[in-house]
Amino acid sequence: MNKIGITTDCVCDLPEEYLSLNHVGVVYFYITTSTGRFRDGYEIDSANLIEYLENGGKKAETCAPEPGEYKSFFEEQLKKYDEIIHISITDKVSLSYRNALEAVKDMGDEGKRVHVVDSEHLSTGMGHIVINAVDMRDGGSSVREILDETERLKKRVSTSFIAKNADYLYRNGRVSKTVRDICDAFMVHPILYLKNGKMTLKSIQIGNYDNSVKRYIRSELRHNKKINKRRLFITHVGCTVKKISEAKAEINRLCAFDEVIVTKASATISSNCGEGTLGVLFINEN
Amino acid sequence: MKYTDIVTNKRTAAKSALLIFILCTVIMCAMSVFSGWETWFIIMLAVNTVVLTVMTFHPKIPVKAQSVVLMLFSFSNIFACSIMENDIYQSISVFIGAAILISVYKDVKLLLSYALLIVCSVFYHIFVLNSVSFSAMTDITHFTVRISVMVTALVFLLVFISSMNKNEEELKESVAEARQAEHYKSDFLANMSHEIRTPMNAIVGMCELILRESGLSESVRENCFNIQTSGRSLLAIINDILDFSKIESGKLELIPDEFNIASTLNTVINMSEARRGNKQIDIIVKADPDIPRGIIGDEVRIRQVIVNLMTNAIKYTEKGYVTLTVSQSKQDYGINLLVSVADTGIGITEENIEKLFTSFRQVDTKKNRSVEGTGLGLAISKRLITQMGGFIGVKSEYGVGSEFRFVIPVKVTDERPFVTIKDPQNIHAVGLFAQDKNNGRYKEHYSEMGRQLGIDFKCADSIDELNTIAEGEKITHIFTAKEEYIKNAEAFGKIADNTKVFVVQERLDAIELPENIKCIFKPFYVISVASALNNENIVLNLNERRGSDIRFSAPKARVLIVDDNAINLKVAVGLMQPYHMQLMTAESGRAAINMLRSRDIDLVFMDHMMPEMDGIEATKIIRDMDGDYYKKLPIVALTANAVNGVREMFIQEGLNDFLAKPIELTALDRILRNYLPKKYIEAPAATDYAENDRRKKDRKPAAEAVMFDPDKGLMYTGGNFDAYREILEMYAKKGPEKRTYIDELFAKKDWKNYVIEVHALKSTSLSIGAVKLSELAKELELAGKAGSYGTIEKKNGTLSDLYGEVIDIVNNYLGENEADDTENEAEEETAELTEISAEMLAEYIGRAKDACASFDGDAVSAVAEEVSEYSYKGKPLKEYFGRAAELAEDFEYDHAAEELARLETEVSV
Repeated sequence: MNKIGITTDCVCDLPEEYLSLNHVGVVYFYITTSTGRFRDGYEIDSANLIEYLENGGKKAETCAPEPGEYKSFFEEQLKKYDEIIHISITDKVSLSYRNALEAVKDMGDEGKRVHVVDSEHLSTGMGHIVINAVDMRDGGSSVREILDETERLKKRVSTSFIAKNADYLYRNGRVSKTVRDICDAFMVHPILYLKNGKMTLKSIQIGNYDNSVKRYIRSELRHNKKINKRRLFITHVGCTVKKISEAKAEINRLCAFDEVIVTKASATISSNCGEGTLGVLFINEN
Repeated sequence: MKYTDIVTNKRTAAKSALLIFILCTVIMCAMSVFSGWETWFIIMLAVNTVVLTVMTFHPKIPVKAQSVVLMLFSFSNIFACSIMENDIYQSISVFIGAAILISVYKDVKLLLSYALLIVCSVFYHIFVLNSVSFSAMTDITHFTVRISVMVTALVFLLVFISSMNKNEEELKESVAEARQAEHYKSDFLANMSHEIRTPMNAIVGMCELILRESGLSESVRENCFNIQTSGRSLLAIINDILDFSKIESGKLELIPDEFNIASTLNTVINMSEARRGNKQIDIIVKADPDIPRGIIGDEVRIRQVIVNLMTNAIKYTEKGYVTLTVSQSKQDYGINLLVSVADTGIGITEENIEKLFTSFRQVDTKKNRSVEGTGLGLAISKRLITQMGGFIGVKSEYGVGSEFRFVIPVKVTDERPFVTIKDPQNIHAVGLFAQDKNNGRYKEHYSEMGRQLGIDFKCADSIDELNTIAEGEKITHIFTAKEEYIKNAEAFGKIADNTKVFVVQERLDAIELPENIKCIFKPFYVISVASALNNENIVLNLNERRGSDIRFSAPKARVLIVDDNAINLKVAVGLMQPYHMQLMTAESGRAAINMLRSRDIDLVFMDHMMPEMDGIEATKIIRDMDGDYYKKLPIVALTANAVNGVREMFIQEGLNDFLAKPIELTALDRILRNYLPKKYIEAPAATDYAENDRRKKDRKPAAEAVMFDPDKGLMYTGGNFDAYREILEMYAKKGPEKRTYIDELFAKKDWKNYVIEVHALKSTSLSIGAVKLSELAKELELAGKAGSYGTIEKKNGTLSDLYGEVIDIVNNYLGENEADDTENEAEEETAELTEISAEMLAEYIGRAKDACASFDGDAVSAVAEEVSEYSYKGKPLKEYFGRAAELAEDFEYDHAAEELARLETEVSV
């Protein structure tokens, strides 16, 4: 039987322990500041980046790995596996998927053993897809079966976040300054949602942020009968332990999941939505 | 509060005001439509709204202008409404509402202007439009009440805003004062720390001088040592405060310079080992050998952060290990230097991680009451790393351990790796390490190390596997742990005839090894492996080292050791002290140059990497100084550089040789022999030989040491040798009887009493250092308690045999010690009175006579003291010279001289 390797981008936000325990290879994104270029999640984390920006740090660019890096990464992985399934961050927000494809093209015949999948999600939304692929591989599924199931699964994953304000969306050019100012003035908290791989504004919450988070959770889990109860991720950027506990309590009140896993968003994700951002990410039933 | 915050707050207020304005405008539009007012009114409302919105969101238009326009537009809208309605009364409440809206700007003048406009509009209604009737008393009352309400509201708002503004002003002043006070505090702390540090340095230094003196009583020595230790702790705290206040006031400047990470690692390991003391934790070092040899950074500060992280990890870890990992990632500008310190300590809760890098704060203080520190270390580390353009972070699991990691971008000046191996393709090494719980981790680490060094490095799980590997290929080097060596000592002895065998062990707990087997002290990492493989003299045979501890002494030789790190200096001084040389230290190249101006130093050990002026630079300056002395003065580099060809490099730079760090005695011995003036080299004192011999005798062969370890036994009896011997005697006396009794209980299957007896055996055996027997007794005790009698039946024979062997070993040990003691006493007596020659005696008598002639009592006493250890033709000299000294002390110099003359005659000198 073919030995299948599952690999992904570091922005899947899955815990380091899970990735190493399940031998999931990870390609690092980069954050470039005015002082240097750092590997996301390895050399810099979201807390570092937010603190840097809040203390007047001007430059903070996120950057996907170059095709060359993908190529070396895949070649290294192919020494251990017969075939690789690489689950990439959504093509609509990053160049990484295209870079990975280009690397595969460069690899010639060897590249045929690498299957790059556009997850159409980011953060732990993408993490759900990685976990599913790992479970299927460990369960003895073939590459084809995993790829087919991944295609089906990505339509069922719900990836959304509530951002405390629109500051970081503005910094990254996703909204204009006027929209940012209006959000500030009227205490508007945007809810971002991944739809067909594209990050869109799903809705807004107005008023006190703690209450808005609770309203956001209620709104996300309102159709709880249609939600797969196996696992839910709370992925956040610099939220306090207290806020996380409150969010967990609200989730438990609304819906009984087998596992509620709290993870920190990577610096790349954090740079797009800012401190205080919180997301509940889960899989819908068929 | 920052200026930008204030501006942002005002802008937010302006935006909120705009929102309310728009809502009011919408209501007015609705009223206009329902009441059929003229069209221009709606157009005016729309224009006003658009203009105001643009002004609010335009970044270049000041909030003040926006507030004036909002006030005017609000007034005009309401006034227009009142005209349309032809009724001022309906609009009064709206005027008040608008006044509240305008008050968000907290501008008194603006509100007064608005009040003035309202008054004008009222007059306009009264006198121009005649819409206010005063014909009836009720009309007058009505008007008065409405206007009074409006005036009251406006007055209230004015008073409220004035008071708020006043409070805000006071608040700003308080913030400014607090800032100033903080600044003063930082300055004060910096000054005070500096002021305290100077006398503290003197106290610590003076203690050092006192401790170097001979003839101190034990209590004085102990008190002085305690003062010095406390002084050093205090200095460390003061340095922390000084650093922190410097960073806070922005006065701390980084001094980037080229450095080699090898030197940093060596110092960090030395300091960490010193911190670890007797704690049962392993220090594991993983360093990427490909890190460039020359990198630019403030080495002192980088080292400070690593030492701080290591110190914390050791402080909070009671068992397990502390792992220091140093790696790199290549970048366009050089490399990112990544350092991680992981431990298996108490860990940190999520809540505490949030507060971790805050100043003056130790987390979980209740639990860590015994842990000392100012709580500034991490705050300082974080600020230093941030100043270097890097990032620091922590991952932790409460109760499991923590990992602190930092990264800094650094430029590269020398791309070559900091560790290189001579002919790596010809090296085929195998590692055989103990099968303990960390075995997997170590194996992984060692294999990775081999891969990084570019050598063929395999790991074997057993001696059989090692032999199998050896059958298949030629093995050049074998590295093994002490435990594995002890188990297979015989096999390794044979292997070592054809292959280089290295035993990795703890410095404090090292065992004796045969001549052909070498020893490497932990931590076992790239530098020590590279040195072993490159034959760079830092790996040695333990016997060789111990046997040659004190091969000679050179009391007249003056040696200068230069190193910027106090711990390194202490280590070097400690290693050189047994040579009885006159040791001097300097903490910088510049200080060393100044000390050399006296031209009376015979040998210099110069640290390579030092801030400000490194060893090579200092050597060049010394060589350029006037005089032959400076050209010929032997200067030996001290370096942690583990690359091939380093000696040639130092010779090229004007140094004579190099001594690798960590310093090992064989290498030091060779250097001293080669570079000290031959005339100063003397035979070691008799006491040194005696000490060496005693050490050799105390050491047990490897296999016996496992069975019975007197050091461990002594430890359990608090180091009291007499008490220990008593216990041993009792153990040896009662042992045979007990052994028989245990065997009887076993034969009778009296498990209850058997468990009681093996329990007692477990404790007594452990207390004398018979660990193996104690462990077996424990196993059988547990088996008895659990009812697993099969285990007892299987192992009682082994227990009985082992017990018998231990009793024999103890008896032998007691016999040897008795013989040793008698021997030592005799040796000591002989050693007390060393025979001197007639010439030397004549010289002493001459010196004492001269002292009497010049009425110098102290000098006579000094000579008497000097000769107290000598005899001439079997006669002790102390007595004669002692009498002379006593007479001189009583100012009877003539009699003292006579006494000396009598001695001269008696011994016929």
